[in-house]
Amino acid sequence: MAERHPFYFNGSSTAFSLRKMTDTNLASLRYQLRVAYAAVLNANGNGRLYTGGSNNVGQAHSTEYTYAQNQQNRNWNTGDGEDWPGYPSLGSTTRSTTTFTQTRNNETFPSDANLRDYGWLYWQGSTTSFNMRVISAEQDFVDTLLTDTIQEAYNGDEVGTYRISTGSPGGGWTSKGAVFTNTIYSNNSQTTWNLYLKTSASDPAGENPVGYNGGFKRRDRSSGGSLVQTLLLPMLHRRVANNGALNYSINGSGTGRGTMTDTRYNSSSTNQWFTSNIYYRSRTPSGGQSNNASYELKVRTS
Amino acid sequence: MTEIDNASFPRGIIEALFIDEAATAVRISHYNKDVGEEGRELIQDVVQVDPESPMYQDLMKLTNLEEIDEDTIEHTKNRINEWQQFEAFQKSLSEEPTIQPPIEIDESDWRLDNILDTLTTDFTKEDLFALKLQVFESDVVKNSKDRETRSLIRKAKTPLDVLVHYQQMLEGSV
Repeated sequence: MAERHPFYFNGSSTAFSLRKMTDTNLASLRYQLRVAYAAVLNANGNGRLYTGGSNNVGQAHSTEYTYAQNQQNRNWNTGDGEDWPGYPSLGSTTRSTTTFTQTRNNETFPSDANLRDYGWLYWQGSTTSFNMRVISAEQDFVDTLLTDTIQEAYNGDEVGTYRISTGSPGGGWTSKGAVFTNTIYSNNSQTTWNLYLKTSASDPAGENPVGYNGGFKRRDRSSGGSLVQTLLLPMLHRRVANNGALNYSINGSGTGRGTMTDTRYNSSSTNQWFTSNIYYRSRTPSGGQSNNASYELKVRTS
Repeated sequence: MTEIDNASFPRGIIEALFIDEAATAVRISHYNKDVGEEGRELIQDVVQVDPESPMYQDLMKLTNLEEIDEDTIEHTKNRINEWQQFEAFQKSLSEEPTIQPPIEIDESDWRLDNILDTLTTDFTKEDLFALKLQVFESDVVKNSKDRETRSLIRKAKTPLDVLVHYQQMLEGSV
């Protein structure tokens, strides 16, 4: 298939020409599609990332070393000295597990009537022999608009995608709440990571595509318009459901969107004491922190 | 053991606690297997406060946010106490007994020319949390059924916010 760039009206309402849109002219439409997709995610709709579902993304575990203690009764044999037990090893436990899930429901491709009523016209043919046609093939939408839209979400303005961070990544990011806490035995130095969704950035300049139903019509390119809502948004959801676009994983392929780190104390201290005719020895986590595991949120384009 | 009709927590839950001050996520302790089964252990899952999440929906069949809120405060208070006792025990094993010096309080923070800063900007998370604990331990808040104001206290971002909502409760109790 091929890129099918739309026409746009160049000029005023009384003196204009039809021109073919460039990728730059389409930038605003791509941005508005990302904004619309982000709004769906923000409203807990299809494509969203959350915790506590069926685990198609991955898990993050917070683990700790734990206090351990051995004890031994006094044997009353003064000839063999004191009856201390050996020092125990530190114990360990998984303090919490976070299970990430993404909804990836398929959606129906728009009907021919919707493609006609909300879609755009493109030029096909040579200079002297050509047709104006309504874009209708799914792969043409992919080649003309969706691939670039996904790429810009992936490593451009990131609108419509998530990050994991201990603080807000910046303007346009909305917190979706805490998802992971690294605990290290005591109550001190706990770090919490939140899930953030980017819902807006700067709208680049662009043009409105031209379609035809009962005459040439300028299509509204805004995120709430029929072009975006009825045609392009379902197609973007289809890329997510069927082609791996904007799919998330923990430590999988793609670009990183924040790393949750599970740390533990890297040393221990020992104690011993004698009480009620029992000898005790214990080991307590202490020292600095070292990394036990890293859980990086990754997003991919396909 | 009789399993309950709950996909995420078929054996019920042992405990559910918020993991962050803003109360946006919960850590739930529950058993993975029935009593007597091999490999039975206590596991802990984290889930966002998200009405669309299946695990959260299952959690809400067994408890509610108000209970989680109260249990979190109680749990934190107990953990701090236990930790302080444990540290004192550890210290007693390794150090000669000493006479504790009297606690010195930096009263400068509470002078009128500093108090506004202390209540609005110049405070630590620990200060804020300690104040919330103190307020939740007061009889007027403990006995109050005003969930909305309790929630506002829990979510307060500054000591001043905490005190404003505390004042509302005091006035409501008269």
